[in-house]
Amino acid sequence: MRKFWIFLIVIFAMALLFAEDGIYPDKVVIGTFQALSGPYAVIGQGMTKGMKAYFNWVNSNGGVHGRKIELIVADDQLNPSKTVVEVKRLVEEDKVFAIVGGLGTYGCLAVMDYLNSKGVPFVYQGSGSSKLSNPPKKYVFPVQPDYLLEGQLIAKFLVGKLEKKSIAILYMNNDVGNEGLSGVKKRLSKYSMSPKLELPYNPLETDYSSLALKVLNANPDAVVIYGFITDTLRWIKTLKDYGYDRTIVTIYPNADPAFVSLGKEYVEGVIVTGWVPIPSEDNPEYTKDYQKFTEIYQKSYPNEIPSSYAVAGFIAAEVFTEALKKAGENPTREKLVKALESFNHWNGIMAKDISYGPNKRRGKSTMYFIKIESGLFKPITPLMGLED
Amino acid sequence: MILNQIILGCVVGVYYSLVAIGLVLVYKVSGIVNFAYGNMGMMGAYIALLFLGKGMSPLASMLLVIPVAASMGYVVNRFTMRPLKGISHSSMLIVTLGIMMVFEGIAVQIFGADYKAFPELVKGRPFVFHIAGGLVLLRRQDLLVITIFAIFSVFMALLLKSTKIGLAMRAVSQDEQTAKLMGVNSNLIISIAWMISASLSAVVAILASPKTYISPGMMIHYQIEGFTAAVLGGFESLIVAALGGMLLGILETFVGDQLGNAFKPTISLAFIVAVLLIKPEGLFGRRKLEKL
Repeated sequence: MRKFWIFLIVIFAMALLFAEDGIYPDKVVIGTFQALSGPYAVIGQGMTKGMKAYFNWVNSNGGVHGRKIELIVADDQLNPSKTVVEVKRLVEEDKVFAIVGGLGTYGCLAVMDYLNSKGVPFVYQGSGSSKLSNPPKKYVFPVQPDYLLEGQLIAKFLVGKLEKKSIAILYMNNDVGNEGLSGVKKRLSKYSMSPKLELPYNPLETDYSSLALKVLNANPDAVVIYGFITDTLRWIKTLKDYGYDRTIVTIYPNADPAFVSLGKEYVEGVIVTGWVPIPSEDNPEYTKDYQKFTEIYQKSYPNEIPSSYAVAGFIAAEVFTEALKKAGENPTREKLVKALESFNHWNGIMAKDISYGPNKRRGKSTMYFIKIESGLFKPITPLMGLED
Repeated sequence: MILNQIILGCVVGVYYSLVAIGLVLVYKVSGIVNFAYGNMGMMGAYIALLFLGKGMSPLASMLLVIPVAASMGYVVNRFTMRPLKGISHSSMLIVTLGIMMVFEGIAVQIFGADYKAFPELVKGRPFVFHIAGGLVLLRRQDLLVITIFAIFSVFMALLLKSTKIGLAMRAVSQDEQTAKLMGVNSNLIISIAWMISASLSAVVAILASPKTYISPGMMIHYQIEGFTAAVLGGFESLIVAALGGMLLGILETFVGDQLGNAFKPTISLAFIVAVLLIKPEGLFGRRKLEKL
């Protein structure tokens, strides 16, 4: 009898030793880092709500293989030095199974190598940095398109489709802006073109009047603005007030209802890129998907209109949950990686056309263009890739 | 082209000047560099938004916020600064940083973190001038800010030069202990300075909101630039603070135009460091001599 108990204890100890962090009989514990306070809280809170709404819905339907998904949210205020501390705490103290949906380029880059070396899957980053997918890292799975890809697609659209001859690029003087600039220039060089004007700016500045004069002097056919909502709106207002009435294209973080509600008549005719389906008359399928998303979201946040950041969080949760399902009844981190690598143009409710492979980590390679007309987002192209 | 850069620089600088004046006012009477200044204004902007939501006009909302912001200034001073009077300047600075974060946290909790729009007080297409071969765009709201700046400057000049409160303020700013011995109620005077400063911050936040949009972090840029302008002026006087703001605005515009926009923050801050190295009392400050 005594031998039996010793055997049982050894088995139990072995099971504990080899058990996957974050996997319990009744739940899977995962972590995320978000800016819940500070100047970027608008993004972090939206993204967190999107994730929570989806996980709440999954849990209320029995979870994944009988396990509920428990999300621990760490507030790093989009400060990379805090991100490192918070992510180490999540991995080493909270023993999370994976990090899902971290927010912010610098924070994601700061913890990317750490998570990869620890073998902790890092699914979805709220960042458009191409450094996340290139070179591919075994445990890092970006979903959002990167700015290098987006910049190339913008140049392809402006020159290939709209036949613009001269393009000015106004870009935030940071990694996001610089990467976008590189993307546009890379594709323009294929057409033997270069930007008419490259103008870096500080997104915190509140007046671009004197800089706008440079744009007017360059007199480009089209302006590409690599900025986020408020600084992009400041640019558009200034340019239009000065009488600039040609094509203005900006990036996917601005494909947000707030961009239209804050910009009002100024954003009419502005073109934004998009990677998330937008409900429209031309796309009844997307309308159904969006309605389902809103229904799920409002179960957790009644009467609240979800932001585009909430959509991002929702997609992060969708991708992870699908991979967890595919990883089987006894998930491990290795099984999760294999499951993600099997994604081949996978479509969820809001997540569309996601693919990975053994050495492929750019989850999303296609985008489309949307025009703002009468205060509504109207898709003007189908999904476009670099090849077609 | 130089003239239009100066004009555009002044339009940017007038906001910095107003922030710098509010900072210097409190500093002069209480010796406190108030890092919560911008966020007090941010709270005022949110409150103005509440009034606007009740159907009031933007102007009425702004005017109604002034007494609310003044009360906020009074409360902050009465219940945090005054009880802590006597602690070191650096500790006071940390306290104001703490208050700044508290206001930000309150704003996130109550109003959420998403951007909100507050309309311009004066609507209409901006004025576009052709000056010296260059274009200058002047928004009506910016012209209003310049007018408010002028009115506020006259108000402060009259208050300080021609009223007993102004005299008492000047006395407290020179030597609080001696002013007290002369019968000046220094606590009341410091409270008044905080009330004026908080009201001014709220007005600046409301006027800037068509550019920045209302959010918990909306005043960060102005707080930094206003502080820089005050440093440039040596935290010496309100006029000097105002000049510092204008100078900073013009400097930034010139650097952005001539050397490239990427250099703007670097050159501006390098200029401040150079000023402090060469003239620690500020560009327009006077060296204080003390008898030993």
